[in-house]
Amino acid sequence: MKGEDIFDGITDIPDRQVREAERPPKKKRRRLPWMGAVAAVLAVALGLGVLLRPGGGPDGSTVTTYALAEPQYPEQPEYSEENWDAWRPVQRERRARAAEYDGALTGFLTAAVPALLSDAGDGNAVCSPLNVYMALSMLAEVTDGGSREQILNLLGAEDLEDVRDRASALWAVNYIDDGTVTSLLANSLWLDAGMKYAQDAVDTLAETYRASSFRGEMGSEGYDQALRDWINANTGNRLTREVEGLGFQEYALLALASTVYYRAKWQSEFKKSANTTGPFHAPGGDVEAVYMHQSTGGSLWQGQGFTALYRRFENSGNMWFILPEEGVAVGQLLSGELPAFLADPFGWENSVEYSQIRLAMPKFDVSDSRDLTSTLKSLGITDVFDPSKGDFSPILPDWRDGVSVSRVDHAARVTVDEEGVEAAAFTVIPADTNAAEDRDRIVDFILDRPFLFLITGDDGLPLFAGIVNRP
Amino acid sequence: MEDREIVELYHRRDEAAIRETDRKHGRFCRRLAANLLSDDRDAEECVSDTYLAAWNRMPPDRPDSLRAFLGRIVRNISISRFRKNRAEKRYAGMEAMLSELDRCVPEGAEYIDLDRQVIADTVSRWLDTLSRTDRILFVRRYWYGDQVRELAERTGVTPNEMARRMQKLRAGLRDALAREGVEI
Repeated sequence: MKGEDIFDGITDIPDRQVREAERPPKKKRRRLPWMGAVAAVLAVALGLGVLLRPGGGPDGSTVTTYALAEPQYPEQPEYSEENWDAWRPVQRERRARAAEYDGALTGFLTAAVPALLSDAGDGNAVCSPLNVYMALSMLAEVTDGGSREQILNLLGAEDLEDVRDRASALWAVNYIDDGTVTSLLANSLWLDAGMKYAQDAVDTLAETYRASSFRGEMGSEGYDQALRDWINANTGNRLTREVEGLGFQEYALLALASTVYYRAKWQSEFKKSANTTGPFHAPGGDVEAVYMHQSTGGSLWQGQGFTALYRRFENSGNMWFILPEEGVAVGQLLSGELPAFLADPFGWENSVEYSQIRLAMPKFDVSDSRDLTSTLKSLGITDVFDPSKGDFSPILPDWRDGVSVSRVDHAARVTVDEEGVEAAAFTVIPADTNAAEDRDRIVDFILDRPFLFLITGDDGLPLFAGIVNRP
Repeated sequence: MEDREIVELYHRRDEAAIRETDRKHGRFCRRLAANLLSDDRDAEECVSDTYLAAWNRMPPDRPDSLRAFLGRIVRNISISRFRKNRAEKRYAGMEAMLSELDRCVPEGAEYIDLDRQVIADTVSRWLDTLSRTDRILFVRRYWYGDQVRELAERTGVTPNEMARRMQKLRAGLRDALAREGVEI
């Protein structure tokens, strides 16, 4: 069955339904935006028949030394024709959960994606909005008062239950491990050996966010290495360079870490034999790039100053490419219509144009690493960074003040070639007894020409977003 | 002239039937064809073919709603043209609509052939579960071929809001197809 068959079916609906629609609906008074954005929420179900995640921790690594609890991950049947009957219902059930947060993340994404990409300059910017969302959800879980309130505001959530329901559903929808697509989300909580923590908060993080928990001596080489091992294991070793400098300060009380790893194949692979090399018009001057080519029919999405298209992944989401009009800088778009498009690209179809497209897409491998403190402050999250206002009482009952988040490390990398995409990201949020200074931004990129990209999962939400400015 | 009188003209093989059809429903047919084919010349040819098909089908057909009957013919001819000419020609309205309807196909159902009437029944049952406004909006978009922007203007919402509403409706239809009509 395809769209044409549904078109035929719609042709034959009964006369009464056709006649009822003879007169289009009339204008209504405009509703306030929030009135239409109530998310359906369902209880969290950890699921039956779950197993320990295969290969969740590297054998013999330092991770296991410090582990208090490891989450269970759902087992998914491998995708194959013979295994179709087992694979199909599991994937259907997984995708169906997207309805639980349908539209609820639009506000967060509209605000956060441009902020996360805004300081690309002439370099590349890559981030994982979903990864940041997850990390902030966990941060909301361990904070209270104004600290939590500001996070909830950014996440567009009414209360903590709202955050939990969405996080649980997001996790469920975006966790795929069926042999064709790998989309793995992992969360963890890092505790200090000598500290007392509220067990309720630790349990909630484990149950709702499937967070592993670890306990060790903050600032020790072994514990730092365990954090790095855990992140490398959960990002497919795609970010080893960015992970290298990570570690805990001696005065850290706890840290939250979240990762996402995504690997998928194009539904239609690019032929290597069709590759060409050509100039890429980077901001600082032309550079040579390897272009992959495909000619196909498809839809083009147009907005003020940009055109976009997407390419499907096999059994999974899509990758969007957003090309600014000639003479329009990528950065300029971020203050226009583009953020709304990025938050909900399929919602833009009023501007869809079907075309025959000759796509020439450079291969690229871009990465970015930065401290998100100033970005989050610009988005209204300030109290958690202020030791006089930070409220971590839900997990640190004995610490009423003097605790704050010292930095928010976020790194992401996206590699695109003829076969598909591989992408990974992490966010680490340590809460310390002192606020440390922001670290320098590290930008790492490999090739390309100025455009934006977006990797969306089955639910259409951006797993990764980025700007490719230079090869 | 009343529709039943026009139908009667067809049954009497009176060529005035076509003139009266054009007078009463020509604008509707042209608009529907133009919405789907996005090309005035093709739309005009489609309408002529529609009248010929109506002439050939009545008798024996005696439709309850002449407009719906004609609309179905326009749609069938339009999609036939699309299928025949898709390699050489662009039919923007149809392409956009089919691209949207592609997203109503339940996961895994891409490889399943389903009877047209089964799909029609499922769509109809699902439409009956919607609010009247949603039902009309869906039928306007996917039966009458109204553009999202046009529907947004008429209902006083932004095009993006309307597009999101359509997206939600399509998701509902996809679920209904998966649940009711299509055991995949």
